[in-house]
Amino acid sequence: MMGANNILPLFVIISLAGAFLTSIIGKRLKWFSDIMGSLTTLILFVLSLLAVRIVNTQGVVVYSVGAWKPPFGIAMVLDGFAAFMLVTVNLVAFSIAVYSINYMEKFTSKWKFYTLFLLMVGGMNGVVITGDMFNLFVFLEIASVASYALVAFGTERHELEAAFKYAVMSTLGSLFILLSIALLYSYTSTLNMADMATVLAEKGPKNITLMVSVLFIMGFGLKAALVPFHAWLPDAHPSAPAPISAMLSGVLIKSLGVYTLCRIFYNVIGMSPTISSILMFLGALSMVIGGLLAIGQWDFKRLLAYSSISQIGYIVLGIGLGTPLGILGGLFHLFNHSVFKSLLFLNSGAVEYSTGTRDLQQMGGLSKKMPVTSATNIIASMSITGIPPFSGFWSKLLIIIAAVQAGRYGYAFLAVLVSVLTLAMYMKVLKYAFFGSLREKWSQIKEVPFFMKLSMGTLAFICLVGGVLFLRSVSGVFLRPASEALLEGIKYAAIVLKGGQ
Amino acid sequence: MRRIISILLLGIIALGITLSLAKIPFGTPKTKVGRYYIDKGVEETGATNIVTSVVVNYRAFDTLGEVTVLFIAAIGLGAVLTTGRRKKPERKIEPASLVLYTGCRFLFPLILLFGAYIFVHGHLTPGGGFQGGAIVASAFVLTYLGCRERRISERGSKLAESLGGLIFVIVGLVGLAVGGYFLMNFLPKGIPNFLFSAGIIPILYIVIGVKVGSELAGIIDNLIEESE
Repeated sequence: MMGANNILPLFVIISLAGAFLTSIIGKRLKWFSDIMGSLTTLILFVLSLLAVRIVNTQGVVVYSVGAWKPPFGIAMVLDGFAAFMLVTVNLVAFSIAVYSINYMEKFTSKWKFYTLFLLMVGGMNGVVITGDMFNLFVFLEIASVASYALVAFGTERHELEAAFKYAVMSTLGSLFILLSIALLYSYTSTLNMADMATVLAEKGPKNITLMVSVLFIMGFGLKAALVPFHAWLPDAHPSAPAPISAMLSGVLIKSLGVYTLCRIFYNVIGMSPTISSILMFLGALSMVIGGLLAIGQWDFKRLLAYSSISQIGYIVLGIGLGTPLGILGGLFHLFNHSVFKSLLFLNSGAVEYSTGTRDLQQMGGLSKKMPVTSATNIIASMSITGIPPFSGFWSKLLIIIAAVQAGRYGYAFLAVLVSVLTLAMYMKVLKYAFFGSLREKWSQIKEVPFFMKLSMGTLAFICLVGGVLFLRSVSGVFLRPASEALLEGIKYAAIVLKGGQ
Repeated sequence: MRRIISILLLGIIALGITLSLAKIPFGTPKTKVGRYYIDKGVEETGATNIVTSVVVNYRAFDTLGEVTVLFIAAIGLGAVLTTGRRKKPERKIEPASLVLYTGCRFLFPLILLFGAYIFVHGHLTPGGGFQGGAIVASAFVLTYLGCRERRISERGSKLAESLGGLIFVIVGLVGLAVGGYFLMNFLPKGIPNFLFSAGIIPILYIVIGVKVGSELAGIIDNLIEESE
């Protein structure tokens, strides 16, 4: 049984081993934690590309941890959707690890940062790759608890306050999720997701399915920061160190919130028109409210945080539509948003690194002093607002077309409208931060160090060429298997159980 | 107004849980996975404690996750509490009473021994790595109460935590190399009810016991340092 499927546990093992090693050696050897951070995430990224290849050549791969056959042991499942998320998570994680080499210099215990960072990455990979309901919860907790500590990493007053608020809200979300997993276990007496889907389909919809769906929407909605559950995000994301803000907004809310929502509602419980309309409604609500709140912000990172809520709305709207095009568009936007939102947060970090402020009104004319930062920021802004050749345009276009095709003209209209709002808020950032005349007090600032530039440049390049994913040949291996995995619905069970034999 | 709304919401949740659990037959022999563990557990894992066979063998991967969560809690607390403002406490520590002082010195090794017994025998008797680890940590709490000038070595506890996690992963990897599956029970299962039985379970539980003990002790140490 040695072979391609042994790659599955590696996504968790490598990150955990990297974290433990960093915590032992990194304290004594300063350079070791930098190397470990970048090397571990690079290996994970390469493995995730390999995973995409495996899915395309061998189809769904199932791995039984400890050689216990499902449903008695824990299964890991690699399908199109999981491979897609792995690439997204590890790509962003790698560029952020490179960025942190320079950025985290000013913090005292770098090894603690890298240990927590790698554990968070491991948690996210675990959530994505697992095929077991309770295992999903365990990894969800690993990623969440690591992120609470990382938000508070600066240990200033407002950072601790934000981290506390985040921890309370997010724990509440975890509680809902745990409660619904317990209910599901008592009903189906199995924890394997595929097996659970089979049992649920046999027994038919009952009260408990409704209750569990509601709890899951609240729990994962909190993790994804959909609008009625979003209150923690605008505090937590700006308070973290910039690389962690990028990680949280870029991939954490997506792998813990959006991915899990999709996986459970499409593949385990089964999508119903009611849930579909709830998701679309929440998506549209987040889109509009996030956009409206973002536009009035003067704190660079807080503006970006509100904009994340708005963009998550697009993703959930697309996926909630439930049509093939809608899901494709939603996932495409998920990938794009991961890239450009991380880049924008890294930009804000670069500005803070050089000037020491996050207030847009204090900045101005920084493009003269920080050419790389401002150039990458322009690319990311164009991308998120949806200017044609950049990646964001194509994914938003897909979502809007899908909404029109599904007859949801109202939602399509809102999507266009919020796009205009997005344009306005990023024009504001560009105008106040990078264009205009340079203030006297910024005449001495320098561009950021090499690794930060490298990381921002790489992400900007992906924004530029991200539109390539739109081409049939590229999306055929990367995006389409992901959306097909969701469209299979509860047939997922049959596919996984067959692969497990 | 707020109170009324909260009570109303709680009522709705309670109603929902009641309705969803109303028709579930608890404790019947029909529960699929649970029944399997009870029937096959001893035979397949060699551990007479069925809870242990589930926690450290069938679902050992979850347990790896759980100890990682605890590790994150310990290291995160360390990062949040001590970064940048480590001050040496100036004031004199008031010594404990003679009874407490003598009692703690007398009990410390015994409690450690008992904790170790609990986690070493995790596959045979009730208890296991988490429980044993908690008992070990309680020995350190007693020391903090009785012998106030003593401190655990922070380096030692951090090393035990990280090494513990690493050994867990390595044991899993050996399973991958030998049997082809991560965390596979590659050692002979032996005869149930003997100390040397159940393959990798005792090894993992010893690792968990040491790790949990040092993490809890480290957390207490961090909190004490901050409050001084």
